Amino acid sequence: MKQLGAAVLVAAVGCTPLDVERRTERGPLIRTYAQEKALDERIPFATTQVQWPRLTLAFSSADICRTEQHGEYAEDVVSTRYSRGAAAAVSTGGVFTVLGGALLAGRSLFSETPNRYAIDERGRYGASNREVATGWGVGLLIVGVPAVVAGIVQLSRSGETRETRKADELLSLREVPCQPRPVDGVVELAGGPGPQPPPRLTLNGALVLTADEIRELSFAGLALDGTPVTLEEEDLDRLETFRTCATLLASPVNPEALAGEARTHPDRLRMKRELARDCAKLPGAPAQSLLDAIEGALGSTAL
Amino acid sequence: MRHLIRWWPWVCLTACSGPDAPDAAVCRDVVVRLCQTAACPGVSAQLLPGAACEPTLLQRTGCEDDAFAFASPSRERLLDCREALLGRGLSTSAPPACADATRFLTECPDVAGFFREGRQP
Repeated sequence: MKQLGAAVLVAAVGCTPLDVERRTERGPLIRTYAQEKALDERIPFATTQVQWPRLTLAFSSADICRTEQHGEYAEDVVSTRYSRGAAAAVSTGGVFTVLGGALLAGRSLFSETPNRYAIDERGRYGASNREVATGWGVGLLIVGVPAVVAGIVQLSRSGETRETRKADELLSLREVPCQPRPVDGVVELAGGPGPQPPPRLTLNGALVLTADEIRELSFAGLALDGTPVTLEEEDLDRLETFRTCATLLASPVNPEALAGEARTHPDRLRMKRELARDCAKLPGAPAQSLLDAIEGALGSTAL
Repeated sequence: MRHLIRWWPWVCLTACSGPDAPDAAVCRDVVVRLCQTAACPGVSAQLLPGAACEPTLLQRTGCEDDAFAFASPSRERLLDCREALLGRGLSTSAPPACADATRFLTECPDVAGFFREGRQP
């Protein structure tokens, strides 16, 4: 019965809430991994290939694949439990308990004779010293014991716990075309300032444009069967370079004119030199003679 | 815990008061208090205690006998009226205020008559 009472007492005061502070400490990186997922959104793509004087646009229908790069690392969750009043409860409750216990233990030392010097309103003598001591002893124990138990429980529950768990962080996200499949259709070259060129049919998923054709064409974008075609940056750059070079390399090289331009507009000629260098990178493009002439013109001006 | 809650009134009562005082002790307590205020205006005129207040009232009421028991007024009635004299505490070391003594005599004429005229045969 006493044990049951003690258990009930502990359970009753053991639920006393503690203050909890949580903080998270990031640990070392465990591993990185990539996660790929197709979005099931097929859209037309085009890649470019140059073999001067032809530009081949290869059309394909590709899905969008999202590639997520994840980092997995250890994470420590540190929980600090504390109670500001625990120590005070133990000390105060301890004093009360000791006093109450001493009064109860030594109650036989007090007189059992009622206080005959005072009669209360109901006609009763005052309590004897022993009864007073008993009352105070019981009262102090009632206050003190739960305080001590609560304080001890709180102190025992106080402390720091560390829980390690895995945490995942998205490091990078990239969406690229994937699972390409060649596709044929009607290509529209649209968006230019001039009249819209007539639509063209692809053959085996490709459309070949010559430098002479593209020089005459005015367009800013491509559409395949009415759907805008996406070009990656590298292919778009190659297309624009081809269009520029188609114009730049069309005229015959005139060293005298270049020398005159070197004197009057050297900056413009330097820009033309950069364009010629880009043209020289296109496979088969006859840009070397123009580049040499520009270098010569600029060199002679420098001298 | 439940037992403690149930026993708390008992614990409080036993700590605050003792056994019932005999009728003689209650009566003597009132005599002492009344005689402490004998000098107050109107008190002596109503109680007529004479030169020796306490012996006179004790003898008159029969309270000097330890076997004294209240009949008329009853113990409960006397205790009710006595509350007017307890304004300065339960102990008789502090005499009641004159106003309390006057209130006792005014509100409880039957009890005042008991102390003035003594026990009726």
